[in-house]
Parts: sequence; C-alpha cells; structure tokens
Amino acid sequence: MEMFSSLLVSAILMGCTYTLVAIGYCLFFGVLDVVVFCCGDIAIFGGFSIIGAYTILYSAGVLQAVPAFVAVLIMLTIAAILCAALGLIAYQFSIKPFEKSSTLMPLLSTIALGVVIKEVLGLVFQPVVNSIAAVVTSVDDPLSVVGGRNPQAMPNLIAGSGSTDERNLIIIAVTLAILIALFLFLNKTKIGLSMQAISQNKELALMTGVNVKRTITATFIIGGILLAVGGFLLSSYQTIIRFDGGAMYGSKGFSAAVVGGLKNTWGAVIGGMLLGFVEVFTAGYIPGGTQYQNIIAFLVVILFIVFRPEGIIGEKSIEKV
Amino acid sequence: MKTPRWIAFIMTLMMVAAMFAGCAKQPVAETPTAPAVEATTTEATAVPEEVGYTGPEVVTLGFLSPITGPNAAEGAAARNAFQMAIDQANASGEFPYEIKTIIIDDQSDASVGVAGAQKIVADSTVVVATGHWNSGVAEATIPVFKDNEIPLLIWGAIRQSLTSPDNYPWITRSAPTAVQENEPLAKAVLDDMGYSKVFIVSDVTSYGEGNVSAFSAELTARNLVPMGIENVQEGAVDFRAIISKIKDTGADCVYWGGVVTEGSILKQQMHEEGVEALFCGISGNYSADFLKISAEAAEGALIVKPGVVLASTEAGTKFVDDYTAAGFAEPVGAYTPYAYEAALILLAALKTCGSDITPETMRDAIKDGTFTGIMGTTTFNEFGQTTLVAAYLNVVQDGQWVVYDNSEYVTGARAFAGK
Amino acid sequence: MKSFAKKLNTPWVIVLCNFVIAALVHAILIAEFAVSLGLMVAVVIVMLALDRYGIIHALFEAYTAQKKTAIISGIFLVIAIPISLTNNNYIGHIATMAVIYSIACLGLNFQMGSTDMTNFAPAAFMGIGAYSVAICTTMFNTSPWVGMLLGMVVAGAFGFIIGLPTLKTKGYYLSLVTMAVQIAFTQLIYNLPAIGGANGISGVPKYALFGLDLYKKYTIAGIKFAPQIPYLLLCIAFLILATFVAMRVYHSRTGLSLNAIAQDEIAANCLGVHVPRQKLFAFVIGGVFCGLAGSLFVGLDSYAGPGSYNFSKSLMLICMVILGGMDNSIGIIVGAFLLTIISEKLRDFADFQQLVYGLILVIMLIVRPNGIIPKRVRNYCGVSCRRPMCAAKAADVVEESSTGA
Repeated sequence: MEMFSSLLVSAILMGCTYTLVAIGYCLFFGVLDVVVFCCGDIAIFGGFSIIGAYTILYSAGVLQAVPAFVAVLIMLTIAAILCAALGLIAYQFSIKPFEKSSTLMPLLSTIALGVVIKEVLGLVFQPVVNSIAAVVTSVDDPLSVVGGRNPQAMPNLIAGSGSTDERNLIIIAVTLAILIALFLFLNKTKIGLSMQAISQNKELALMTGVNVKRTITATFIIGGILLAVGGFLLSSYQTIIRFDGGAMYGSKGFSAAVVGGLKNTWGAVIGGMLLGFVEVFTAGYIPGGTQYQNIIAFLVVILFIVFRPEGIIGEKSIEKV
Repeated sequence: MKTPRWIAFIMTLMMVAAMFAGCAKQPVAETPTAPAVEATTTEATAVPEEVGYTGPEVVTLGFLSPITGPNAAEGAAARNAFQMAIDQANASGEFPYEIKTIIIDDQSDASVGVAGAQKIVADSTVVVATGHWNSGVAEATIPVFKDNEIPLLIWGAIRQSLTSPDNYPWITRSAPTAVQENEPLAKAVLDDMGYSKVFIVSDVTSYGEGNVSAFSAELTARNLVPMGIENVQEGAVDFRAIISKIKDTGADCVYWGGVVTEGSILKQQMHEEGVEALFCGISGNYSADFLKISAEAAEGALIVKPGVVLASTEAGTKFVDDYTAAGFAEPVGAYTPYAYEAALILLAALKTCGSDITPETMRDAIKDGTFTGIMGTTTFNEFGQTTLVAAYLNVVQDGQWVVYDNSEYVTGARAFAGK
Repeated sequence: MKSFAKKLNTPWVIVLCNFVIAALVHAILIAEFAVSLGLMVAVVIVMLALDRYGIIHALFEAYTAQKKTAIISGIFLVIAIPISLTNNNYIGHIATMAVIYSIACLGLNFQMGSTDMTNFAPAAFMGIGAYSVAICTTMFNTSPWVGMLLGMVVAGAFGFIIGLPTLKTKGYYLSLVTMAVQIAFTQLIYNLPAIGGANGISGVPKYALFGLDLYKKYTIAGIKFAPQIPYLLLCIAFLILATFVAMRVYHSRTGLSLNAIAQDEIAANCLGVHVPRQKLFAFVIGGVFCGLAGSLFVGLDSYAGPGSYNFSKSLMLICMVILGGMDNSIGIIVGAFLLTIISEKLRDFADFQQLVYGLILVIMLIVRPNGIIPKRVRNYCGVSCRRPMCAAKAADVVEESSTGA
C-alpha cells in the first residue's frame, strides 16, 4: 500500500509536468494550426534560465537579500520572459515563413530549431553564465555551474529545506493555480476569447475583427510562461536538468496533447495524467518494467492515434473540400 | 548523330585512363614498401646522431576514445593523459624518430568508431593503436584492426569477451574486465560488510549489461538472489518508480551498474526519498561529476575503482602532478591512469622493437613484454588480458572521494546506510 | 537562353559534364578538411547560380535527350571513381557510407518527397535490414544475401504495418506515429538480449559473390586496393538500380498519383486515385529501399548495434533529403553525399555536428525549401518518347509558355 501511494504521487507529479507542456502544444495548435515541436526544448531552456538566473543573482547577492518566495518569483519572471522571447523567435523563424506551405515544413523547422536550442544550450550555457556571474560579483570564484552537457543540479528552490512532500504539494498546487489562471484567462479576457475564436474558426474570427497578429503574439507569451513554469517544475521534481532532455519531454507532452485531443486544452490535462500514470505504474508494478515504460507509453499513443485520433474528449472532425 | 556518340565513347575511355594516371601516382607513394626503402637510404645520411638506426622517421600511434557525446568527460581526460605521455616521450629524446598520434573521437557510437578506425589503419605510418572506453564500440572496431593487422591495446572497455582466443594476438587489453572489477566490490559488500538484500539498477548499455551479469554471478555464487533488477534508458532522469520499488522490497543495498550521469541522479533521488540503503557502484561513477550533486546526497556512495591508489606510488604521484600541472579542463577519471598506462606500454614496446618497427613486431613486443608503469607490472595472459588486476574502494565523505581504507567508515566514526 | 540550352544538347557536353562531376566527387572525397569543405560550398553556390539561369534544367533536358551517351560515360566514371581510390581505406569507407545513405534517402523520398507524408523512422527500417542480415548470418549460418532479401521483405512488411495508420491519420498525427515507432524500435532493440541488446551483434560475415569476397584486399596489376573498393562497387551497383527504380516510379502513373496525393488528397481521391493503395505502396517501397541500405550497412561495419539506428540517424536522413531536394533522385543523392562527407570531415568538431544539422535544416527550409536541386516540372514526353527531338520540343513549349506569360 505504501508503494502504491508513493507511485501515485510520482504519477501525479509526472502528469503535472506533462500537462503543462501539453497545454503549450494545444494553445499553439489552436491558434496557428501548427505543432510547435520545440516546446520541450523551450521548457528545458526555461529550466536552464532559472539555473542561470540563480547563479548570477546569487553571486550578486540579490537572492540572499529578499525572502525566498520573492526570489523564486524573480527567477520565474526572468525565465518566463526569456521563454516567451524564445517562443516569439521560434514563431518568426520557423513558423511564419511556412504559413502557406504544407504541414511538413513547420514541423521540420521547429524540430530543427529544437535541435539548435538544445545544442546551443549544451555548448554555451556554462561559459556564458559563469562569465556573467564573474562580472556581476566581485568574488573571483563564481558559483561553479557544471558543464552544459552534463546534467545540471537544480537548486532546491521550492520548499527550501522542507521535506519532499512539501515540494510535491507545491508542484501540484502551482500546476492547479496555473490551470485555473489559464481557465480564467481563456474565458474572461478579450485576448483569451479571441484565441478561442481563432481556434474554432479563423476566417470568421478575422471577419468579426479579431486582431490575429496580436493574438498570436499573446499566445506565444502565454505559452512561453507556461513552458517556463513547466521546465521549472520538471527540473525541481527531477532535481536535475539535462540539456538533451527536451526532445523526450516534448514528445511526451505532444503525446499527451494528442491523447487528450489536440484542439482541446482540458483534454491535455487528462492526456498528461494518463501518460504519467501509464509510465509510472509500468515501471512500478512490472518486474524489470522500467526499460519498457517509454515503449508502453508510446504504444498507448499509437493506439489512440489509430483508434481515436480525435483524442479522449475531442470532437470528430470531418474534412470539407 | 552516330559519329559524335562514338567520339564521346572514346573520349570517356581516354578520360578514365587520364584519371587513372593522375590518381595512381599518389597512392604508390603511400604504399608502405616504397617509402620504407627511401627512408632507409636518406636516414643513413640525414640522421647522423643515431648511427646504425635504420627505422622509420615517423611512427604514428592511433588513439580512440569518446571525446564528445555522453561519455565525453572520461574520454577527453584519457585523451589528455595519452597525449601527455607521448609528448613527454618526444621531449625526452629517447626515441630516434618522431612519434605522432592520430586521435579519433568515436562519440560512443559504433559506426562513428568504425569510420575512425578506418582512418587509423589507412595511415601507413601507424604501427599500433589503443582505444575505447565503450565496449560496444570496441566490439565493432576490433574486426577492422584484425583485418588490417594493426595491433589494438584496449585501455578502457571492460566487457569480458573483447579479449578472446579469436582476437589474440592482435587485440590485447591493459584494463581489468567487468568480472575482475566486480569481484572485489562483491567481496567487500557481500562478505565483509554482510549486505544480502541487493537491488540491482543499471542502464541498458553494453557497459551496464556487462556489470549486471558480472555482479549477478557474484550473487549467485553466494546463494543470494537480487531483490530486483531494473534497467533504465540512457538519459533517464526520473528514478522515483524504481525507488518506490526498492523501498517496497526492503533492500538494504543498491548496486548501480551504469555510468556517472544517471548514477548521481539516482543517488540524489534516493537521498531525497530517504532510502535507507547502501549505494555501491562501479568505476564509471568515480568522477568529479558525481560530487556535483549536493555533498549531503552523495555521502556514503561506495565505488570500486580499478588500479592502485595513485598517491601510494611514486610514478602515480608524478602522473597526477603532471596532469594537474598541465591544466587540463577534465579532471582525472577512473580510467585516465589506464590511458596513460597504455601509452607507457606502447612506448616501452616501441623501445623493444628498436629500429624494426612494424605492426607485427609491435604486436609481439606487446604480447610478450613485461611493462612497469604507474599501476604496477603488466604482462598479458594467453588471451591478451592483463594479469595486473588491482582494485580499491572509494567512498564519498563530506563531498570528497576518499579511499575507503583511509575513510571514517573503516574506523567506525561513520556508518553506511542500511546497516 | 534558348539557343544556349540547345547548345548544351550535344554528347560532348554530357561527357564533359559527367567527367567534371566525377572529378569533383573524387576531389571532395580525397581533399583535406578545409579544401574539401571549401569545394563543397563552392559546388553548392555554383549549382544555385546555374539553377538561377536555368542551366541545370537545360542540362537535365540534355541528359534526357542524350540518354545513351550519358549512361555509358556515367557508368565508366562511376566505376572509375572507386578504382581511383585504390588503397585508401578511410575514403573508401566514407564513400561507401555515402552511397548507402543515398539508397536510404531514395527510399525515404517516396514518403517524404513524393507523397508529402512525414516519416521519422527511416533509421528503424535500416535497422531492420541490418539486423536481418546479422541474425540470419550469425544465428542461422545462412548467406548474407539471404539476410538481405529477408531484410528487404521484413522492412517492406514493416512499412506496410506503419503505413496502415496513415490511411486514417495524416500530418501531425502521422509524424507522431512514426516518431513513436522510431523511439520504440531503438528501445526495443536495446532491451532484447536475444539479439544482442545493447551489445549489438558483431562479427557479421561479409558479402561474397560467386566465391569472390566483396570485402577483401585485392592487388590487381600491381596496384593494391583497399578492401572497401569491391564493396563500394557493389553498393554503387545497388544505388544505380535503386535510382533506376526510383526514377521509373517517379515517371510512372504511380509516381504521378503519389504527387497528386501530396497536392490534395481529397482531389486525388475524386480523380480516381486509389489513395490507400498508393500510400501503402510508398511506405512499402520506401521500407524496402531502407532495408536494403541497412543490410548493406551491416556488410560494411560487420556490426549491427542499436546506437546506429536511432532517432538522430533518422533526422540525419531527413536532413539529407531536404538539403538535396525533395522528389528529385539526383538531388537526393547529392544531398546524401554532401552531408555524409561534411559530418565525416567535421569529425574533430563533433560537438558541433548536431548543431550543424539543425542549422542546415533551418536555413535550408527558410532560404530554399526545395533543396539544392529542386523538384523538376514534370515532362510528359521525357520517358515515354524515345526520340530526343520530342524532349527538346517539349522544352521549347515550356519556355515559350513561360516567356509568353
């Protein structure tokens, strides 16, 4: 029973982190009709920017001066801004040029951009952060950041020295808070409503005077914030972040989005949870099952695509000529 | 239209012939026999200081390791040590020829390694190669070296089957095998410390697989059954499900058979989840990277490391000092001394060969030689496996690697988890 | 322009052109790192410049018109290149790899180029071919040729199975299916100890033909040849065969229906194209090609391991197709050669290799999404018409209509 409960917690936490990136996919897909495949890498970039911000601010002595809660908020803000900027760059360079071409093009270009993000993180992260930290601080020996290609230890920012239970609770609480905020944003604000309108019928939205350009920008900002928080929670949960983790995290998030129904933001929650549960319980209850957890997770996805491509709570779409 | 076509045909033939003529010259100059003759004639007059030396002017040694990719830290440190040994030899003036190296990065990928091995054997001045940290890559390149009759001394890959009667005498190995490495660890953990409920975790690499089978064999020999065996993918970051399982089975010892990246994450998460068990692992974890997780989390990790305590011998101390003085970015890893040792063996074999340096003489010089390096005295058995087997235990104490025998764990000031 | 294009249409030009291409390939293979990279960049720039003035198109027309001359001289040169490498093991190895990747890319092109269906699993197909040969030879002691045949059949069947979901899904869903298949394939191989697991299968016997080893050092007329040379010749023979089949398919009704599906699936369906059958065909024939490439690859390395057939290998193959030019067999071969040689010459900068792939993809997609040698406008006289005049006339018609507009 003890094992079941601990697995349950793991599954929920995995599900939470998958959910956030899956929602990112859904938002982008809804507004642009394009799968932004580098979402995982953007999230990992978010995690790295938090480590970078931590290193720099810590050596500048800012973090010690403010309460822990405020410090986390500062770093999250920095990461969210950077992720949103990266999202906009992704839109400019790998989505916008292909608006009129086939679906293959933006797919490939976002995958390629993901590779570029990943490699740049691996190559330049450590030198850049260390040199900035060295400039900021008067101390000669800045906090050593492990080489970008090695896994980065995530400082335990949430719950400080508290127990892991406390941290897990905070992760779940933050995910819930974000979901609620997103719900309010999508349904109560003008931009949120116009995002929904574009998602449902782009031509009609254009006709009724929705500012598509502004909405797209807003989407990437919101998506960037979501992904930054996702990367932060993921790396806090795993206590470690790897520069090459984005591809796997991204494809899991995309899988969750597909299982839930690509156009349905709330389906992503169910999809993410389902994927988390399948993975954790496969690893937990099947002897030697760890090595098969990814295979089984992807098998579930393939079955969904073949037998219920519209997702768990999606609607069947009939293509019109 | 008929005539031009025929003209075209003839022209093609001529062009092919021209191409042949153009290209045939280069390779002829590269064939080993021709320059050898030339070298002997020029050598006798051009190099007066070595009277009677009739060997080649340049001798090239091949070196393969994963300098980039997932095992970059270990591979790059080994490259540094190897190159350092060769530079020292060139500077010493003991060799009447220049020793060059071809450094190949195999990226821990078999097909990249094979292409690199081809690059080594394609060079006619190469007389011997040493290489490999990844057993899987070594497995793939061994046929290349055997086919082209270039001896290969393995410095780091530990899979048992690499040295075999089939591969002998072209393939020799100066590093211990997985079995030779796991045996002292099993002895210490199972016999001396008395752990019996062992949970095995590993990664699905050639390395991990070899370790798991070696350690499982040690368990079986003591009539023990592992509480569970789990393999993770390379690149895994979440071990929570496995840790739940470990807790559930009540294991008091966790054996980790993979490399440092995943090993340090596993140890970190075990610490977080409060697993009361000893963490013991294999040499791939003896690395400064392991200590990058918090000191508190790393505390009490027991790692077996092949070789001897370097600080205990004069040559070993000198090696560590030289390496530190050279200021390399990568710290000394578990196998870095072995790469250095392999370089010393090759240099000693070169000396044995005198002026008659060919792959054949090098092969015989290696397999029949007795070499004294920084680890002790190496000789090779009938399969080309080193007879020098030494290993010692290391433990993390206050965020530092400490030799187990000198640690507070031996004196009883501290105790391992799970006791 | 018209007169210049016509001037190209002589056997001399074709032979000269073939010779220049062969000399370039030889030089790029042999040259040192910087020279080789410089040559490659120069070649790409010249090709893009030529394409701007329509000379590439004119050359293609000329080749079609002077088919026999082109083929005869081409075959001579194609045989001459490997022989000219003589005892250079390393270059022989790279050249063989490039040829094998070309075959795989031609297979991938049936799905990606012709039909516009994403396939992120070409490396998995290659792996099936490689493992078939490895398993057949090391465990059942059969000839590697049996393994190759079996590999092609199994890869084709696998293509059929992967193709089945494509009947219901497309676009992103399809890409996710193939991606999942690729990842699952690699992990499955890692976790199956029966076929070597992470260790892979080593010591796979080499191919032999009529008792003649195809991977062995030969000394002919006093010149020593690297062991890769006969094998390279074999691979080139397969590449010629594959290119022939690919071009035949492209020019056939099937190729046309594949293109029609790429343009608009529903419209193609309305026009009587049997969409499921054609889609499955693209997957099966692509699978067979990749299986062939994989079984040739294992003959080169004598080793089949899971690391050689993973997602990044798939990405590399996709990159080759896009770089060269989708749906143009010649372009694809150019792309495969360029990328193989680039990644081999960049060996000392392996840390940047993935970055280079990523950047090449991003830049190519933005600047020139059709690749170095783009897809050509279909010429319905080219293949069915034996007389050279017909093609020339068709070219004139195209030119007139374009100038007229």
